[in-house]
Amino acid sequence: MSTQKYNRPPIVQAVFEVRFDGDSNKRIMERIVKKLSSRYPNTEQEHTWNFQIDGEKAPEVTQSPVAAGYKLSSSEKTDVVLIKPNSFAVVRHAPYEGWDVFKEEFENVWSVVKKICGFRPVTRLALRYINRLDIPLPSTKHEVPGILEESDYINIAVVVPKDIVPAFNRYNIEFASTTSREFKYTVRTGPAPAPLVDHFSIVLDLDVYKDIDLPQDESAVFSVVEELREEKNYLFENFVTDRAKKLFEREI
Amino acid sequence: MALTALVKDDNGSTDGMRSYSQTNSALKDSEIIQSVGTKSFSTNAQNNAQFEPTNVTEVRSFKNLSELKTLTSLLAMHLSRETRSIIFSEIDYLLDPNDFDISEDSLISPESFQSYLRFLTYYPSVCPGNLGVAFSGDLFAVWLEEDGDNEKLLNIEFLPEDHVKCSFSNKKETKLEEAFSYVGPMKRLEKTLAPYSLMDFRPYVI
Repeated sequence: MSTQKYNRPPIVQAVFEVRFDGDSNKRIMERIVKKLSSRYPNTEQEHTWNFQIDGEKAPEVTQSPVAAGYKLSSSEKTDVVLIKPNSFAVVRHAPYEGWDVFKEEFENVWSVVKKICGFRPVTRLALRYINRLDIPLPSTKHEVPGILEESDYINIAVVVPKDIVPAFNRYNIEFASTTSREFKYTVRTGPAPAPLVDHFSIVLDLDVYKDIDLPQDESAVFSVVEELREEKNYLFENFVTDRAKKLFEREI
Repeated sequence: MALTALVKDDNGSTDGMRSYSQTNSALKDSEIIQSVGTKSFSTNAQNNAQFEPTNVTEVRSFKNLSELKTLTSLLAMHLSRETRSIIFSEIDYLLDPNDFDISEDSLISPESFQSYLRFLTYYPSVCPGNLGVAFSGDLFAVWLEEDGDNEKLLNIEFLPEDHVKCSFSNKKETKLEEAFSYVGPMKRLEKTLAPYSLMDFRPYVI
């Protein structure tokens, strides 16, 4: 089992998602839920309600709620599985315990889904890692000298004319591109509420996925997942600075 | 016009969260499925013995517990495994849906709990303390420092927005030597308690 690179991995949520061609009905979803219930004892069901809005009349429910999916969670609420008619997702909340642990988790769920649903063509494979950089504010007990510059921690920046916008405290950046291996990715970043006292937080959300030319053989699918992970790590390591990495390396 | 209450992920994002514009609120962690009508839930409880919340009180304590655990995950990377385990064990006990009695027990205020978590990360060397819940729903922790017949007792109630209500007593051979209380920002607690070191206090079993 590989060891974790960072003592304080900044991962708030790690998500592995598979989308399939074709929908599962409620009965199939319920069987998956039942099969996973020992590992994920808490179950929430989501429904879709359809409303008819007509002029000044009060909104009217036009049909019975439709089962839209299930959210299963572990007793500690750190591991979550989302079951939907045409997809499933495995979510790990902080603390992230490393790729091997996460991989085992989604392989187990995959195995249950496969046994119950049978073969379903995979239409999309994705890894999404939502990171949050918790940066100590200068001139606090953390004794970080100087002025906090976000560019000291993250290599994505908003460029504005300084004479017109000398300072700002809110922004959102989102961009999409393709890696050299032809995986698509979306990056989102911006400030987030800091959960720690005297800190400033920046979210770095990396969503790497493949939705064309997907292999259907299981071992080949997992090879793609490993490649997605490599690409995600490459992006992460390049989007954060060495100074940020030092924050993740601090011992607890 | 037919509207659907289920918020769709229009930008093709991987599930787990929606677009970034919603990520901030998601990070506060109402997250994932809160936007849809949650109609039912069940749990098998931690020991896998079947537990189904059957009344409003059980449902409320269970939901409160879930909310606090989700809040903990927001800064779990800054807590040691041991600290996290102690916190969960304490809140599992305080909010055990099987034992929760609305006439005697209070749900824990999430704002108070957040202040407690922020306290633990601000003073990382302080042990978690023994937890209790005030009638108001605010969480409090109790610590003790013992040295022979001398005893120093510290009680901190966690108020929203990083404020605390603290009481301290120092007994020597059962006689009260000094006592004081403090209400204010948690950041001033270290100076307020000087010359006593917060780090020397151990959890006090109530």
